[in-house]
Amino acid sequence: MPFFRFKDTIEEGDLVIVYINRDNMTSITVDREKTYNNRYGLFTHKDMIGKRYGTMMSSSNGKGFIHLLFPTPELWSLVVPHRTQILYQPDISYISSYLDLKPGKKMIESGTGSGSFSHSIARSLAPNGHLYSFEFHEKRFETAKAEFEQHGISDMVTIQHRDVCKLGFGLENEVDAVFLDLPAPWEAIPSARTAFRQNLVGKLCSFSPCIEQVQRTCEALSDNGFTDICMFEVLVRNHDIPPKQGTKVNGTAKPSKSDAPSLALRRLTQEEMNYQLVTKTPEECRGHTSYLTFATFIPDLSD
Amino acid sequence: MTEVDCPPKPLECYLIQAHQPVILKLPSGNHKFVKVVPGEYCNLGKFGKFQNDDIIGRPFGLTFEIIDRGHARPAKAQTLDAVEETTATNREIFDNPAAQQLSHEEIEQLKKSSLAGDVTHEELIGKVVENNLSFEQKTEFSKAKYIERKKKKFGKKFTVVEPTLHNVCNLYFSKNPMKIRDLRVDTLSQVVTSANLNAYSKILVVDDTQGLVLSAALSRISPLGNVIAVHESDSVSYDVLKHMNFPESIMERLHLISWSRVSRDCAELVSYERRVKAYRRTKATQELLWGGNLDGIIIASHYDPVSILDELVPYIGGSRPIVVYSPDKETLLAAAAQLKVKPDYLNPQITESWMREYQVLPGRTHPTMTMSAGGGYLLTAGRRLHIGRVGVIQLGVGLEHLISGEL
Repeated sequence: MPFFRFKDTIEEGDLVIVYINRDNMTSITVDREKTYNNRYGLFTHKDMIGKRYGTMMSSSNGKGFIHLLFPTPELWSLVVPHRTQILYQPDISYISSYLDLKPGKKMIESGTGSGSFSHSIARSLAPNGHLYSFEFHEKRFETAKAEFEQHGISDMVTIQHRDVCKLGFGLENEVDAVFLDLPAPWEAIPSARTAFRQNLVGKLCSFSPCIEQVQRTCEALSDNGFTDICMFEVLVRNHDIPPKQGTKVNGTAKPSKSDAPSLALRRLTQEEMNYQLVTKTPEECRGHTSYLTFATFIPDLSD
Repeated sequence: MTEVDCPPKPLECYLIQAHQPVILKLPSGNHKFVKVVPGEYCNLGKFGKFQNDDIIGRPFGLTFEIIDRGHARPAKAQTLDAVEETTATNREIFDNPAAQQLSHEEIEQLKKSSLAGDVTHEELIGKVVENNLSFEQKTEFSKAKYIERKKKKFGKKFTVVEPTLHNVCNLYFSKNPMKIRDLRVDTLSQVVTSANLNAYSKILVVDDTQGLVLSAALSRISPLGNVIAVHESDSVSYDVLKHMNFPESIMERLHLISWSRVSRDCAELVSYERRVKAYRRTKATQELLWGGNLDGIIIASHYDPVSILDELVPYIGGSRPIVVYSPDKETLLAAAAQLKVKPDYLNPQITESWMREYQVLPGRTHPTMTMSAGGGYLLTAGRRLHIGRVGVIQLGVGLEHLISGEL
């Protein structure tokens, strides 16, 4: 079963995202002998089998609950054990859009890192596309390789343990898109040029946190004949809805800490909900992830 | 599913084909939609015209140059040129309309010769530069800028851009953002990933962005997926689709249904003799929809999102994504507050998109001086299932957390 293709009912051996709250999720592989526990109680895997994804499950003592979710690449990126800095959703989305990832396309990703983007790419290229992923760190390579196998995407993801800056990608006339997340992306650009399908236009993205890296990358891209070089930054900001809303002060009932009805303990009425809803930004948010540099590979025209 | 079900795209799909819609990037930097009709000329106004056959069969992304007598040939695309800094400053340069020694008439004459192919556009720009008295006093940076401006005005190079979702969205957003409800491309890209769109998706779409969101869904599915689009009762206006060039195998997977046919309580369909095909199609779409267990829903509509969800969420499978786009935050805020207390939704969240483009010329890297002020807002949630009595009792416990905002 491919990792991203929805299924309805949880079976033995399935990967399940355990949702406790929005800041607290984890993944488990269902094994009827095992029990998952957190501070809300015990949850036996046996009881998960046969439940539908998206349902709530009570702990054995009835005091707490979790939700059992289907592992999409988006949820996976929230629970993946971080072996490196991972790519975040807004960047993944924008890069996938710019590189026009869709079923059937072939692509290079380097390095693999924690494999968060790899899952998203595989989802977009399936069933007949292919991802060539390269990681120069041996331990990370092994972990990612094992993960791809467990998640059933290894037939469309080829992962290699290789230093592409020194050795190149070893691919010729093969791919439609290249994604570079390397400390010195300019070293890999000549090899990327060879890897593109030579008679078609291809797209490249380089992901670098520092502006100096961007400048060197652009120079290398230009020297290697890439065109349409451009650069973007993409972020999102959350707007939270504070739980207390719609309480009015009136003459008869001056709210005080002790006798004001606790809004947390009852359902808000429609009227209350419509009354001056407000949002609040979190105290902190991500201010910078990386610069996204894009370029276009142009076929040689000397025909 | 085997490879046979979903054959790889033939090479021709990546080449410019006759009768296809494409995007042209003009010398001015503007983009326009055109259709490549063989045997006809494509007129680019002051930049000249060329015969469509000159670009048919070529790969997308190539830059062409208009040459004499209405023809175009592949040309070298522009690369990044380094600029050497000198000691020149703008201290001696004053606004002086007389700086240009060529008269208006002389320039017009040059432009005519350029259109006729007697003078290349490089020669034309060279003449204009030569006759600008203050050019030599300019700094190297501003010389480069000046030439760039003249290229935009008198250039003859255009690029044939593939109408991908990204490019089509950008073109609408820059030309007519109202039509796509100000849906910027970074936000659209987040819709695509949040909805987990993939080859197999069976996705429900309520689209009032002229079909842009619908195009997003269609560009990510394969002939193994399905897209159900719920539209206004009296008309379908999915203008964007005609620029997207979807193959027939994908268009067959698009199922249209009007709001008046969505409810299970809606009037029984009548099979008129002359409209048997339409009847069968609607019936099949109803069955697909009512069969439920759909892989998610995307809403980009001017109707109240909660009223739409109340109607459609029963058909969405468990744990599947719910994605709502709105150009304003308030609509989503009201919706999210209601979803928080409904049992069908998990973790409603509102995000605002932010994007900034940079100029990346050698030694001159900085954010662009103007930027899009907003890209809209997204409300995302998961589909939560609650079945039977036990579920309801459990829900009683859950609601406290839901209301207090802990979930």
